[in-house]
Amino acid sequence: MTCRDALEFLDDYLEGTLPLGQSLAFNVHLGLCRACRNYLDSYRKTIAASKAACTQTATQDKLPEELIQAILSAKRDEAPNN
Amino acid sequence: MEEALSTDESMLVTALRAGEPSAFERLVREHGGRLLAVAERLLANREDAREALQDALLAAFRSIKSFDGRARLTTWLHRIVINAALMKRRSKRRHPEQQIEELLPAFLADGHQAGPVSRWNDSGAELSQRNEMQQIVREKIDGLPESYRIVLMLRDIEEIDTETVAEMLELTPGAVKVRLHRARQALRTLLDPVFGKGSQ
Repeated sequence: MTCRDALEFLDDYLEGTLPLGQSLAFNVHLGLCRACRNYLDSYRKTIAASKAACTQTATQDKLPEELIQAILSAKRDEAPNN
Repeated sequence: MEEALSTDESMLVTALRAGEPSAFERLVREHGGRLLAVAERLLANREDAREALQDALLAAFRSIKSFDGRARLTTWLHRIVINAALMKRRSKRRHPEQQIEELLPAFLADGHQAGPVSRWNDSGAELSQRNEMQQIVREKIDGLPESYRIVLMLRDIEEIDTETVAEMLELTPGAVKVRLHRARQALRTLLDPVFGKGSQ
């Protein structure tokens, strides 16, 4: 297995869906290749960092009152009986 | 696995179905903030996100009778705001997209990586908890080509499964997987100068 092959299989490896034979070959390659070990580690951290960066905003946002009023007004305009 | 509807959610759904005047306002106040954050993440534009949120909440109210209660209300609303954001995204004029190839790893003819790969600091996880670092990561995500950024957001951040993302974006599941992989690789390249200070 080359580095090119190993990097193609990263997602399947992380999801545990890599077939056994390829998984074994992947692990052998990792044992021999520092560049791919570093790459796998940084790839994992990339996913974790993006989750941490984006989910933080989801919990801190409160809807501004003027936006609430705009949405309520839009609903009144759309369906006066509701 | 979907979770059962909570008592509060069940009461809100009942009130919405009955057309109680205060129910829609409660829906907006209780769920609007979280849904706006989702729209902002997907659209990376505050004004477009506000319009998508309004479209989503009005659509949710109109279709509340089709909500069958098997999923949580928050899950149902999450899906609606994503669809509204994607509709908004489609309606915008597309700009020529930046190529992603230059952000992907390079290989030699024999298949080995073309250059050394720096080892990222172990403190990267701690750093990514800091506000200023999270802002940098968000800016790097926004720097991805749009057709890759949207897949990364839907799969990794909104945690929508591959098949559903494929339907939403009118792609094959295989194409979604390829785009996600390339998006993660490109983001890794963009973050390398930030986290990868200890080169081997």
